[in-house]
Amino acid sequence: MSARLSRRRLLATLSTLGLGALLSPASLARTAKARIVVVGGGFGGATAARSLARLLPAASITLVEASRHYVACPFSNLVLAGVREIEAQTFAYSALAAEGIEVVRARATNVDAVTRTVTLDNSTGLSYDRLILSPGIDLHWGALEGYDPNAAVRMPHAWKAGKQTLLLREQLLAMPEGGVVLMSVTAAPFRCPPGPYERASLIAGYLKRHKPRAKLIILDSNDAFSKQGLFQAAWRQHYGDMIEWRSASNFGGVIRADARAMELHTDFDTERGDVINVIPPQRAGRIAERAGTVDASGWCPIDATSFESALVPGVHVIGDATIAAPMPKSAFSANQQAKVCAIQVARLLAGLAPEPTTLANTCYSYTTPESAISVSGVYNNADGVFISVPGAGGVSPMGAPPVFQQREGEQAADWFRAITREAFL
Amino acid sequence: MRWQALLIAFLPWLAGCGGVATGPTGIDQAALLTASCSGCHAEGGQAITGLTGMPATELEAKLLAYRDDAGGGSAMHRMARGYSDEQIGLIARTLGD
Repeated sequence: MSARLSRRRLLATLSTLGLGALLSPASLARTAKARIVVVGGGFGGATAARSLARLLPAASITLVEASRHYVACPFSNLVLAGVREIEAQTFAYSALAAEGIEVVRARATNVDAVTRTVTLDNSTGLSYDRLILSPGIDLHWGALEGYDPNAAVRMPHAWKAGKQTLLLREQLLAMPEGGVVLMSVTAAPFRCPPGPYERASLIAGYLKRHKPRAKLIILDSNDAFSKQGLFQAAWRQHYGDMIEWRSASNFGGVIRADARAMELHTDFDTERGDVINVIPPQRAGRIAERAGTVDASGWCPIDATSFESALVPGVHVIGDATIAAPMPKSAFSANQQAKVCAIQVARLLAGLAPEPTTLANTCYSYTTPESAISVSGVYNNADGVFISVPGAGGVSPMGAPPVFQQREGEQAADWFRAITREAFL
Repeated sequence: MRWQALLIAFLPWLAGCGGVATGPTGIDQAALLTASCSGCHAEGGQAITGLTGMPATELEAKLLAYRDDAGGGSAMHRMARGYSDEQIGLIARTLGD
């Protein structure tokens, strides 16, 4: 059997699986040598690294992540409510390493897009053909007056899961009966749009069980929020008048935090809390700024088809750090953007143009530990922008029977198992 | 025999590494579209079913039923409304048996 014939047979076999274009002899040679660096080991980065390892088994895939473990934000509000342990939120990178991904435990401190090099805080450098940044969010300390890392000990944000989640849980446990919980919600955009209101629901559930005379006040810098009608109906149904929501137009927006006095100041008045949760202003993770991929908004403009930065060639950005509206900053979005981005990177390395497609998102929020509501969207990403598909998406039906919301609670649990398995396990 | 060696080298990948490897298995439109499915649909799910072993015709019929059931309020109903006949057919042929 001649080498030429045998190669044709191989390519015929592979092309039936839709892989022929990737593995034409010329493109195989290119992709075999490719070096791809992924920065950030959350839902986006871990999924991207695994997807690339599967698509390009001969390429060098490196995942740069400073932490030994990832603590997932989705479902962390159940930890606050005392009905879930933080261990169930915690994931290691051993499965990724076993798949041939080089997991480098370091912080990426700089990117030189001209020499295509990532600098790490251990002074080493990694060269890349394609770089994928999945840096998540940074808390924008000081953007809310008085809110800095010291204030976050007295007034936890718990908007990055882990120690902060446990700190806020301990403060809720220690709060006296009849106490006041204050939540401050920053102006959009921020990570997990329905997250603050799921949090309010689950904290109220804890208070109802253990401190029924307590009160929860949401001081909101927004006038509307995700799944608002469904949340407010659930609050009335389950928690009576325990939760008070104060919108921006109703002087709800917090302009200053005073951690020493345990007070939040709005334009109109001052509220004192026994427990205060500040969901502060946010922006793209710092490495995105160091790489030059952040615009004046603090977030990363991208080509929605390829996820390549609109500002820096050769650098792709996925997940919470991106400007992807109407796609939300969610784990679901990050995971899916990672898979699509990995495919587009493989296409580019094979000399093929990125191909537009259709993406979807669903965000579940628990209103009690057993019941959930959801919001979905479907998005086309042709011509470099995300456009919601008309007639698709929307929220759970209002006034659905309890069994419907319990079913959505079960779906949320299945979603968490599936997405964490795909990203980490 | 080189092609056989190459094919053997890629076999674990083509077979999904015995269920260990995750992520897309191709770089075409089928792989792009089905990237929306695998983040929820895993084996062992109770309220969100796995898709392994479902015949393609059955999967296509289910997706079309979700899309065309105007009164349905589940997340699948809401998402299926965003897909064309052609996209649903391609998803079903890709994920179904």
